[in-house]
Amino acid sequence: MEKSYVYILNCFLLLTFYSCQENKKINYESLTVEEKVLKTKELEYERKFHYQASLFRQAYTDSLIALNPKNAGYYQGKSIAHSKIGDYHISFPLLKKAMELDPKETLYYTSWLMTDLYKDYDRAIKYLNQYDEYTPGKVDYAWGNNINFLKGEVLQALGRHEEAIIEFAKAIDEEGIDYIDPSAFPYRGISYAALKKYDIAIADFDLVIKVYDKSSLSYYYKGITLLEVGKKRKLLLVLKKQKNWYPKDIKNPTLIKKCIMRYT
Amino acid sequence: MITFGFVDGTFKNIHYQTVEIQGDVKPVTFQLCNAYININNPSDRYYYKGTTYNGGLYHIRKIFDRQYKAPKNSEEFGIFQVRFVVNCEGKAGIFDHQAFDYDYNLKEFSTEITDQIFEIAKGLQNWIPGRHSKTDQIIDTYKYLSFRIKDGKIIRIYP
Repeated sequence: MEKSYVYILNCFLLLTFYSCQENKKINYESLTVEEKVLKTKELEYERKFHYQASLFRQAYTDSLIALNPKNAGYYQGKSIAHSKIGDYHISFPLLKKAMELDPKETLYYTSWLMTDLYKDYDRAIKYLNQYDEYTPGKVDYAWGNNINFLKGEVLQALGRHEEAIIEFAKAIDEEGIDYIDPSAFPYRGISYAALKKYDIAIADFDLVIKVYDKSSLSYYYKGITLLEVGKKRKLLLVLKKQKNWYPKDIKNPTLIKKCIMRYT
Repeated sequence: MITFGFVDGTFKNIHYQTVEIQGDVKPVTFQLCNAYININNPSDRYYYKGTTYNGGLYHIRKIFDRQYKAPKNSEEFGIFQVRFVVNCEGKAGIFDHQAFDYDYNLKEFSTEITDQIFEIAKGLQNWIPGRHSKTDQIIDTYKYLSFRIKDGKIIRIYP
């Protein structure tokens, strides 16, 4: 029992010692430029051992920001964890600060982030255009994605289908038929269908089905388009194919069920 | 059973009387499969674990489309976020919420909007639980749904 008391006492003393350190303010301003560089390297090295969401990593990043208040990368790095867990009120001011300091580098990330995670399409199109304008005439990538492809997605979500078609076509042209993300075709098809250009839309869906016969997105929207133009016999063939993987790979089970009930 | 602990200002032995449970006792409310999930630890709610709703986001949108009634003449706008835990049985619980304006500052919506969304979200109880990336074991996971609101109407639902 005595051993337990000694153990508890030791823990208590250690905790007291470290809690006293918590309020100790580290003054980085008194460091020379060389010392700051060394300290930054040291903190960056130690930070690597902690994963992105860890509170330790956040603390290391806070110190790095204090040491290098004009480094946009640290603000952006700190924001990532908060964006991922939905704490936008914490992440967005950090992203704004990073964009103020280095818009060109930060927009590579934020323009994609607004499109993909925040789904803030008004802001996304503004950021994508701004980022694209830095290097006119060159193919740009936001977080590894073709910028015209992303613009197409955003414009489609905003209901600006004519512009979306142009952007998807640009992306297909830039990447080439072998390297483009195949979903560019059904996405463009969706915009064509929205503009009631059904034949071109179906051609886009078929193009993907030809190379990947399990593209549920293409089957689903082809089905919708056929339903729209009243080609019920063809629709049944599409449904029959899609039924093979139901329910795992299906886009919209309720609608497909309804169609099957209605037309079989 | 005897254990040692701090009671009434002093460390001493504590004696417990164990009583056998009578009959088949089943939990009636939401329970976590792992009692140690920690809302204050970002790592618990961080990495993508594959938690999805049966029928996908499409099904969630349909449910909200059917059940949510936008308040008349409302000019409210912003993002309402419902946060919860999906346990290993695919049931949702420990609901929480926060809201932002379009510039991502925290804000409050009227109860007419929040109560409706919150109650409908609580009714979503058909989740496919997430899995541990290494062991492939089904686990409790955090999840959040965001609702973009304009003039009191839900214009976008996304995870």
